[in-house]
Amino acid sequence: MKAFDYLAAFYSHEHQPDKFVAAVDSMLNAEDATVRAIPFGCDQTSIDWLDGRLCGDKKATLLYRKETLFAFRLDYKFTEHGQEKTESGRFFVLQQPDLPNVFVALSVESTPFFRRALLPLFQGLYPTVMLTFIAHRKLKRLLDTFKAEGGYTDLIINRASQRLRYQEGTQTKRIMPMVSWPDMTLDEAFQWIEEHNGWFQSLEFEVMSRDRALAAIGITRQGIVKANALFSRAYQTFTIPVCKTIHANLKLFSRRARLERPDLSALPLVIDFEHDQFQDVEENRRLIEAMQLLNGASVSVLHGNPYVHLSILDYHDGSAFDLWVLDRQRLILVPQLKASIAAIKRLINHIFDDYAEGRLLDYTPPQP
Amino acid sequence: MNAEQAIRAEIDNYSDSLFAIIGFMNLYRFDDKTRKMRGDVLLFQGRRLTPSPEKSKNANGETVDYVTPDLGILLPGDKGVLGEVKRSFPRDTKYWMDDFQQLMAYDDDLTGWPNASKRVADHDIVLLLHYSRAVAVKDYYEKHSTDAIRFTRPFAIVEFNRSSQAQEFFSFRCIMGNVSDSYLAERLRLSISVPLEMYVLQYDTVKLYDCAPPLPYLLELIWTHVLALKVSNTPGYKMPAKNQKVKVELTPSEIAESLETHFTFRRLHQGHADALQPQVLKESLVRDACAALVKFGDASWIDGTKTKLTVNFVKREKVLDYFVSQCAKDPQNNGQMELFKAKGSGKPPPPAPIPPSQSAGQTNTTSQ
Repeated sequence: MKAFDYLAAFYSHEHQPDKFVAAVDSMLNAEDATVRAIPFGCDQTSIDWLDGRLCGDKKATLLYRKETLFAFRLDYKFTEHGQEKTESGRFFVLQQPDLPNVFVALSVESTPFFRRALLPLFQGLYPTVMLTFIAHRKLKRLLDTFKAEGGYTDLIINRASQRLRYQEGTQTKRIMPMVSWPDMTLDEAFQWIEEHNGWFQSLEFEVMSRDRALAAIGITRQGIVKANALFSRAYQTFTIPVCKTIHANLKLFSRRARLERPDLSALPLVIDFEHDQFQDVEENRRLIEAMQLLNGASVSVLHGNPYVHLSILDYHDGSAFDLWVLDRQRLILVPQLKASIAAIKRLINHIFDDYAEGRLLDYTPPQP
Repeated sequence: MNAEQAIRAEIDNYSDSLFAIIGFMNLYRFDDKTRKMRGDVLLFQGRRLTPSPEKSKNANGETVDYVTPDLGILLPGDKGVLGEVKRSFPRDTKYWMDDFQQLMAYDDDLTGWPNASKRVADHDIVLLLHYSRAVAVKDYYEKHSTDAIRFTRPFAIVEFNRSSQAQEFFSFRCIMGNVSDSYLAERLRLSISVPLEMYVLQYDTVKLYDCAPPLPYLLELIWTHVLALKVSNTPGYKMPAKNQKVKVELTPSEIAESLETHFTFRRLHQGHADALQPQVLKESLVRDACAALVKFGDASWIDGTKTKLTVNFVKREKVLDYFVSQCAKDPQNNGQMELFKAKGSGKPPPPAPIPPSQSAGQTNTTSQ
């Protein structure tokens, strides 16, 4: 029997936003629990609209709000062994200081709550709510920073879920999900994945100080962090930079629609692969095939060789884009009349996931 | 070449003609010294210019109400350039004289230029031709330049070609005559390469000019940029489920207005958009496109007046492919495809006799 129920105490206390992450860390030190943090962008500057919101069989209820911290209860139904069950759990949403459209949802509830209720809730709120994605190289940088700043001996990967974009050879196939437990060091794992043209969907690792494991931490491509200890550091090193990326992307993707511009002009974006990605004309075919895997969209090929010109319609909200490849290095996205932030993010996410990652930039015109 | 390939080739022809118009205009608009677009050069496309009394009747005795060159450039000092673009030229040379008569109609003291006096002191006439036909047409011109084909104003034949190097280019080279601008004339003599990216940069919103676009191309524009926009802006819109039809009502004039506003040279006509600058996209073309939607089972007329239709908007994955396939199966369009094939696409056309080229750059006549 436990001497003291720290979790109950944690829930009964009305937390302050600036002390909340530390409070979670303290609770983790006392309880055998894991926290999960889901950073997300929102098209509104508050999250109180979520109170009473029904999302399928899930309903969120606001319990209290302390400035930028919102405490919710989430009721949800699920079927198990043919029986419908009702459960509920708690989660918090922390609005980021100076980043009014960026939030982090946090929960110390069980894995089933996270998988059945919390994550599907936020995924189901698209396009009002948008999760993000972390480019492969950025993920490596974040992990390196975490290790260096914490002065840890090593980060040992004990579980990784990776996806490879192509199978061997030149044949393009649907990305193959793979799960493995490579038991590798970070550098070995990232080298392996780069050699196989893939990316990590998630990484779970033990934080080692000499021979002692200090914490088990996980991070996904969506920037979702889970930790059973060292949460304050993980939050600072992983979650805050991801929040900044969300903010930067919201800024970069906003007001791109031609109808939002008085002169109806277009404001293109560029993905720069920083090498001769399209040197081989066969690459055009790979790109087109990858783009045609985009769910809920029409991808029309206006031209495929030697240059690429696609017309893309996102049926989720009617956003439309032209995609051009006119040189060996870059891909140009031209948002058309309607181009929501969510649709731009979805399109770029798809290119990074299913084709290749590059550097995302505002379009700079060439000198004629 | 099967019917679908012929349609694809025609879409390519249409795009190339558009690039040629834009690229050539750009040669005058872009200032090599300041590396900026000139504000004192006005561009126009499809503008109606009135002939002088001397040229108000054509060779058949018909009154010529107006001429509408494919491209017009108004330069400082009351100078200008008028031109026609021909991606393809009829195989049968007996039709070539019609094209030259059209050009000779521009060799006139035309009124309706977009300046205060509506006139220019002098202007050049340029025939832009795809390189595959350029030499043959030049030979034809030279053969007849002492009798049937005569120009009093500077006349030049400029060939264009798309070329791939590290990036995509559109090249222009003067193969006969000269333009009046001596600096440009020398550059054109040596050949000028315009990066295709300039299209994305400066004119990324122009997808239509005043030549009838291939039907599937037009239908894709309507589906992606007019229908999807209207449907998705309906309150409560959700992405259609598989096989779900979302009904949307609209009129051909509504479609024409939207395309005209968002995808033609209209933006470039600001400041000189007047009655002489008619709608680039003829409403009759949009009506034909609507009729095609009805024929393909994607829409139905609301009543016998055929002024409004209900479109069944569905989640179609490859919109252009679908319309290309539908048009290729349609016997009526197959006839048109035969015409496309005959007109050629830079590849050897079949020997069937064909009517004169259907460029929208034209002389409009009234029978006496």
